[in-house]
Amino acid sequence: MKKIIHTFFFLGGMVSLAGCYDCGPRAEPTISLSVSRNDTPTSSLQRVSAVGVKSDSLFRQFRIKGGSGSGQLPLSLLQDSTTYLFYFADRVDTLTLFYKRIFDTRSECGYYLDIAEPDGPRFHSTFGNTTATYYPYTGKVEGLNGSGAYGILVDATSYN
Amino acid sequence: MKEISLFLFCIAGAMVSHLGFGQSVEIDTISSVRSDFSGQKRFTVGLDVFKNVPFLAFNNNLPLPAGQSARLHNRGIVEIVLRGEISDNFYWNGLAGFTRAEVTDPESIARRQEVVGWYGKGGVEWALGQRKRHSKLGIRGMLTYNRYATDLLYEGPSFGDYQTRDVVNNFGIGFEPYYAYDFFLGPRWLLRWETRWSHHLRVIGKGETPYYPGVGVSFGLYDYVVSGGSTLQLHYRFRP
Repeated sequence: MKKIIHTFFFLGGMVSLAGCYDCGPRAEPTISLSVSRNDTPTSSLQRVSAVGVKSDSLFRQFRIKGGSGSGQLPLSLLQDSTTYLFYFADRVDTLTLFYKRIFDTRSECGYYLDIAEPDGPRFHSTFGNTTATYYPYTGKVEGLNGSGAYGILVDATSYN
Repeated sequence: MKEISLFLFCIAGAMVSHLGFGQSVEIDTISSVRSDFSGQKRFTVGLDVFKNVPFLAFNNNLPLPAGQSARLHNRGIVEIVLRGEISDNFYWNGLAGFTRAEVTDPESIARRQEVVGWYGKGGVEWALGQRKRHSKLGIRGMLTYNRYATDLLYEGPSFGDYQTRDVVNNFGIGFEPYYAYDFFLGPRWLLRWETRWSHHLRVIGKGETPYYPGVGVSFGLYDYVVSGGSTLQLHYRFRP
């Protein structure tokens, strides 16, 4: 009887531990992106878009200030890359971000979605200096909080 | 009279427990009619006559304890049970089953799931008590196979939805202790009310299985599934 009670509490503990798992986005994930042009005179950024966009409501929320901007932009789930377009007053810069989509199932979440670093190049960019860092969208809550980062972070700067 | 009221109580009990869980019923014409054919091993063949009934009461739309929008549809179960006497008060028991079902959950990534499953169970049971021996206590092992085909939808408001179909073949093993109460309807017929507590471990496969064929409703569990159920089986006793 004692064993049964112990097993019961053990299983209960397992369930509550499983509750501390972040199962990530259930729909199109977003990336954190900041762009800037530091050339003089600075050309202003007018709008941001992407190839194949059906609704640009998220793009309109991208914060623009002069020649730079920052915010969350959606990632396409239809392919392993998304090409963003940055419309400056004098030209259009592009940034193609590559990634690996993961559609799978795990005991804590059932079906879930995650984005991982690609096997090949991370990006093609017309910005002079671009960095892309990949953090998982899913994982144990402690791990996600501990890293202090979430998802993909992209920074693109142009100096010319 | 007492027996009739007990029978009605059993039906009600089976109805209630079946709404949330899973499966089967059996009959034992064997023990009560042991005055005839004495000395010969008895053998019955039974068919589950209850599992599909509560489902009809829900108009083919049974809410699952999965969330607000999860529903079980078009579930059909066929189970054939064989029973035979090994010795006095001791019987073997075998069951072959087929289940198909659909689960829809418009609020989840897994919008629609179709499952087809086959399973076999076998074990032994003991008659309880000294005289009429209506009650049986038994345990069965089980082998299961099912194929879950899941339509997944990941919403993409900006670029478009990603849709795919994930097909998974699951194999598993398990065991289930059960209690059965037999109503002897005559020398040939027996109605069995059986209540089981099933434990199942998926050995090959993956994915959520809101309904596990051969086990029952299993939402929230993953590879190790526990479910219970109560059902009725009608058995016919063949001449030994």
